[in-house]
Amino acid sequence: MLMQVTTSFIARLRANDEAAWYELWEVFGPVTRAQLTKWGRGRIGVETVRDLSQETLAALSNSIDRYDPARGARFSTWMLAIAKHVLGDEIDRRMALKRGGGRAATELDETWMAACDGRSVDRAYEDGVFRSKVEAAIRMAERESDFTDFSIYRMRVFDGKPGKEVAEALGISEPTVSRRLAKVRALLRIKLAEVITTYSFTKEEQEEAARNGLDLNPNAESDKATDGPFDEAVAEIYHRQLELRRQDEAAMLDS
Amino acid sequence: MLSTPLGILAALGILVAGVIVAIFGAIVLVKALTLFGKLIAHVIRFVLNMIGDTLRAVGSIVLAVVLIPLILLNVVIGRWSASAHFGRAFSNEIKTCGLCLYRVVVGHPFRLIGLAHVTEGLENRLPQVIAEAPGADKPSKSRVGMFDGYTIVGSLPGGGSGGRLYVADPDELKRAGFERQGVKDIDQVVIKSFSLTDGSSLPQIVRESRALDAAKKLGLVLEHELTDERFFYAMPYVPGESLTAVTTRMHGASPTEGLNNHYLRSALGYATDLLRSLNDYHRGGLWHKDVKPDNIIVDGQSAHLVDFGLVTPLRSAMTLTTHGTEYFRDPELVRQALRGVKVHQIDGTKFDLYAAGAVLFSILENSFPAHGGLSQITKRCPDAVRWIVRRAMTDYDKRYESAAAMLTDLEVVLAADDPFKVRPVDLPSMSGVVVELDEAPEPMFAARAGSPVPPPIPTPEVAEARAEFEEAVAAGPASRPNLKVNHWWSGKYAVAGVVIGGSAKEKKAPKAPPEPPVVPFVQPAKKVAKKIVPPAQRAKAADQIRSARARAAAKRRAAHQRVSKYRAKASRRRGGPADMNAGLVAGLAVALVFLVLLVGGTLLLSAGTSSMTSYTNSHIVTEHPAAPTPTEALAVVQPSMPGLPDSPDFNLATLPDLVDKTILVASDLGTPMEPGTRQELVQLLNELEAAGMHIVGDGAVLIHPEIADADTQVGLMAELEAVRGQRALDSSDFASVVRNWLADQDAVDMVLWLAPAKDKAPGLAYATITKQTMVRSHIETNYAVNIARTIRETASGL
Repeated sequence: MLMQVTTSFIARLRANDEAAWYELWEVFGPVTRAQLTKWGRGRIGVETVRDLSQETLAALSNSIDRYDPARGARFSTWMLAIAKHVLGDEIDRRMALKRGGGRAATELDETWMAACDGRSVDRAYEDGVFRSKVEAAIRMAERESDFTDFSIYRMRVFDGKPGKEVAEALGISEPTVSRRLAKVRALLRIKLAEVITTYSFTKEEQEEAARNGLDLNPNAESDKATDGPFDEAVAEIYHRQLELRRQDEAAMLDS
Repeated sequence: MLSTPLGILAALGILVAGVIVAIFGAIVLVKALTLFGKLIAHVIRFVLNMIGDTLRAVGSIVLAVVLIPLILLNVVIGRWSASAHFGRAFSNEIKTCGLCLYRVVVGHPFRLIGLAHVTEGLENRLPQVIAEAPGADKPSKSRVGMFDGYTIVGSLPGGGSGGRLYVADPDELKRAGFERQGVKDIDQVVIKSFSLTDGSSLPQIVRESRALDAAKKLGLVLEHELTDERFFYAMPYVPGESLTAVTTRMHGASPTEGLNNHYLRSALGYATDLLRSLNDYHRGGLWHKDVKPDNIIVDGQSAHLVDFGLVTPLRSAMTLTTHGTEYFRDPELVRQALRGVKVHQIDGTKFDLYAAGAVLFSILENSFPAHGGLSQITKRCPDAVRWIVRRAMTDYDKRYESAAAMLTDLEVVLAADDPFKVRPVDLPSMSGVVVELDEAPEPMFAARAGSPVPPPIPTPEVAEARAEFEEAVAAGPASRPNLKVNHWWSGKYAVAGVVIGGSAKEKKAPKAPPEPPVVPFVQPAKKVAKKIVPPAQRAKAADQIRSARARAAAKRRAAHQRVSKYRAKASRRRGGPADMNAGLVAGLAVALVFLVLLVGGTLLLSAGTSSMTSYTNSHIVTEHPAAPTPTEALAVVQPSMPGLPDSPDFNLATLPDLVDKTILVASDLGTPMEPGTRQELVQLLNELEAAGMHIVGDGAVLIHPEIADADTQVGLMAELEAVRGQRALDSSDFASVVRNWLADQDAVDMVLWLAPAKDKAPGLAYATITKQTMVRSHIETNYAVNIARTIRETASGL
C-alpha cells in the first residue's frame, strides 16, 4: 500500500516538477550509472553511460503516467527495467545503424511492468538503490540540522573519532557531544523513514531498512542498545556510497 | 655449581638471553623471507610486464601493418572518410606500440631497480603539460593586425565558452591609454575574442559582455569593443599555470598520505588569494559563478582568479541559469534555477563560497568533491581546515556569511606555527569574532582576477599598510581575544586568550592585574589602513577586554547619572499644582498653539502631491510642493486623479527641460511583469519618448524588444548594478552612490529605478535620480501618472 508521501512524490513527477526530477537524478544517478556501466562494459563508453542514465530518467518522465503501483513492483526494479530498456534500445539502434537500415527504436510501453517481477534483478543494484536512499536521508538530515550538530555526528560516526577528541576540538563537554549526537541521530531516523517511504512502493521494500540494521523507530532514540548498530550501519553505507561516487568520478576522469 | 643461587641466576640469564636471541632471530628470518618473497614477486611482476608489453607492441605493429593496405585501398577507391577512420586507428596503434616500447625499455627496468619516481614525471605530468601547451607563437597571416593597437604574439588554450584567447603586445598609444586609466607597466595583455565567424553565438557574447563595465571598474579589464561581427576585451597578462597542474605537482612531490607541510602552506595560501579575489568581486557587486582550479592561475607564489565567462551582477534581474562546472557548483544552485528564480532573489556570493570550499578540497585531496557537501577529506589535513571546507560546502543557509569570514578563518590556520594544532574551536567564526574586510583599501586587495591579471602596484603608503597588516596577521591570533557569548539575552561572555598550539588550560584568561592599561583593541584584518599597534607593544588580550569593560562601565555610569538627574527633575515637576511655575505653563501653552498652527500650515501647503525626500548635494531637503497626502518619505501615495494618462501631470510633452535628455530606466521588477504594470510603464515610457527624451537601460528593452544595441544597454545596466551593489532602494546611501555614478556619466541625465514594494506590499517603489536631486516613493496605483508627476517636478534639475 502506498503511503501519502510516495503518492505525492509520484504526483510531483507526473506534474513535471523539475525539482523532483533533479532530486531523483541526484539520489539515483550514480547507482543507475554504475548499473549501466556493469551491463554495457566493453560495449559503451563512460559518456554514453551518462547519456543513457539521463535518458533513463527522461523515459521515466514519459512513462510516469502509465505506472501502476498496484501491480506491486518495486520502485528500484521499475527504474532498472527502464534503464535496461534504454540500454537495449541503444544497442538496437547501433546494430540497426550498422546494418544501414532505419529501424526505429523500440517503443517504451507497459511491458516493463511485466518484467518487474523482482526475480531478475541484480542484488548489487538493489543494495545500491537502498544505499542511495540512506544517502538521501543523510543529506536531508544535514539540511535540517544545526551545522555544529551535524558536524559532531559526522566526526563521531563517519570519521570515527572518539567523543573526547570531538569535545576537545569543538571546545565543548563530552555530555554535550552525546546530547547533540543523539539529536542528529533521532532526526536521521525520521528522515530515513521519510525517504524509504517516498522511494519504496512495496511493503517488502519498506522493510529493507530493518533488514540492514537500521531501526527507524524514532521513539527508540533513548534506546542505547540500538544506537551503536544504527550508527555503524549508517557509517558503513556512507563509506560505500563514497566509494561508489569515487568510482563514478574516476570513470569520468579516465574518459 | 648449579646448586648455588649464583649458578641458578646465571643459568636463567643464559636461558633468557637465548630465548631473546631466538625471538630476534626468528623475526629477522621472517622479515628476510618476507623481503625475499616480495623481491621474487617484484621480479616476476617485472618479467610478466615485460612479456606482456612486448607482445602488445608486436600485436600493435601487426595490426598497424594490416591497416596500411586498408588505408591505401580506401584512398584508391575514393572513400575518404573510411580512409581517415583507418588512418586514426593506425595512429592509435602506433601510439600504443610506442608506449609499450617505452615501458619495455625505460618504465619497467626503472621500476625494477626502485627508480619509479624518476619516470613518474614522464608518465604522469608530461602528458598533462603537453595537453596544456599553448598554440603557435606566430599567428597565421589572417590574425596579423586583427586588433588595432595590438600585436598578437601567441595564444592560450580556450575555455568552454568558445572564445579565443590571444597574448598580445600593446603599442605605445595603448600603453599610454592604460596609464591614463591608472594601470601602469602593462607589458602584455590577453585578448579574449568572440567572433560570429569563429563559431561564437550571440548569447555567449552577451553573457560575456554583461558584467564587463563592472569588471573594468574593478581594474580587471583594460578595454573592450563590440562590433557587428565580433566582441573582444583585453586584460593584463601574467604568465602562470593552472591550479590543477600545480596541485598535481604538489601531490607528486608529497607522500601518498597527503601534502607535506611546505605544500600544505602553499595550498592554504592559494585558497586565501582566491578568497581575497572573491571578496573583491562580491564587494563590487559581482558573482564569479565559475570558480574551479582550472580558472585559477598560479603565478609564482600567488593565485589569480580568471575567466569572466559567467560573471554576473549580484543584483541582476535575469533568471538564474545552471551554468558552472559540476563538482564545483552547489546543487542548490541547480534547484533554484529549476524553480526559475531570478539572480537578485538569491545570494550568489554563497555559491562562490561553496566553490571556494570545493577548490580547497580538491587541492588537499587531489580529486573532485564527488559527494558534494558530504565529501570526505581522506588525505593529511588539519582538523581546522577540514572544518573550514565543511563549513564552506554545507547547506546554503549555514555556509559562511561572506568570503571575508572564511578568509579570516583560513588566515588563522595559516598564521599558526603548526596548523595541525589549530582546533576548530580556535577559528574566529566559531568564537564569534566577526572580522570583515569591507573597509580594506582598494589597491591592497584589488582583484588579481580576470584572465591572468597582475596584482596592482601598491603605493608606498599602501605597501606600508600592507606590511603592517601582514605583520599583524603573522602575529596571528595570539594577540586576538577570543570571545564566547554564554548568554544570548544578557550578552555575558567569556574571554580566552587564544594561543595556537597551546593546551586548553593555557587558553584560559589570566588573572586580572590591579590597574588594567587602556589599550585600543585592534582587529588585524579590519581597517588595515589605520595605525596598527605592533604586537610587541600590545596589551594582553584579557587586558584589552578588561579595558573595554571599564570604558563601557564608565559610559553606563554616566548614562545612569543623566537619567537620574532627569528623573529628579521630573519628580520635582510632578510635585503638584502648588509647585507649578505659572510662567512656565503659559509659555508651554503658547508654544503648543504655535506648533499646531505650524503643522496645520505645512499640511495645507503640502496637499496635492506625494511626499518625497530630495537630496540636494550633500544636504537632505524634504520637499512638500503640492502633495495629495501629507505623508513622509516612502509613504504610500494615493493620488487624487484616477485613470490615466489624460491627466495634466501625465502630459510631459510641454516640458522643454526633457528634450534631448537621456533617462536610464532600471527595473528590479521580476519578469514576466504583470500585464497592468507593464502597460502603464510602456505608456509612461512612450510619453517620455514623445517628450523628446532618450530612454536607455531596461526601459529601452521594455518598449523596443528588438533593440539593436541591446548589449550596450545590458553593459550600462551592469555598470550601474555594480555601483549599486546590494543596496536596497530605500537604503540610506543608495542615493549618494547612484548620484556619484551619474555625475561621471555624460550620456545619462536621469535615472528612474523601479523596484518591488518592500515586504511584498502591493504596488511598486521607484526613485528618480538626477545629478542634483533624488526623489523616491511608493505607489499602489496609477503608476504612469505618479511617476510622470515626479519626473515633471524634477525636470527642472536637469
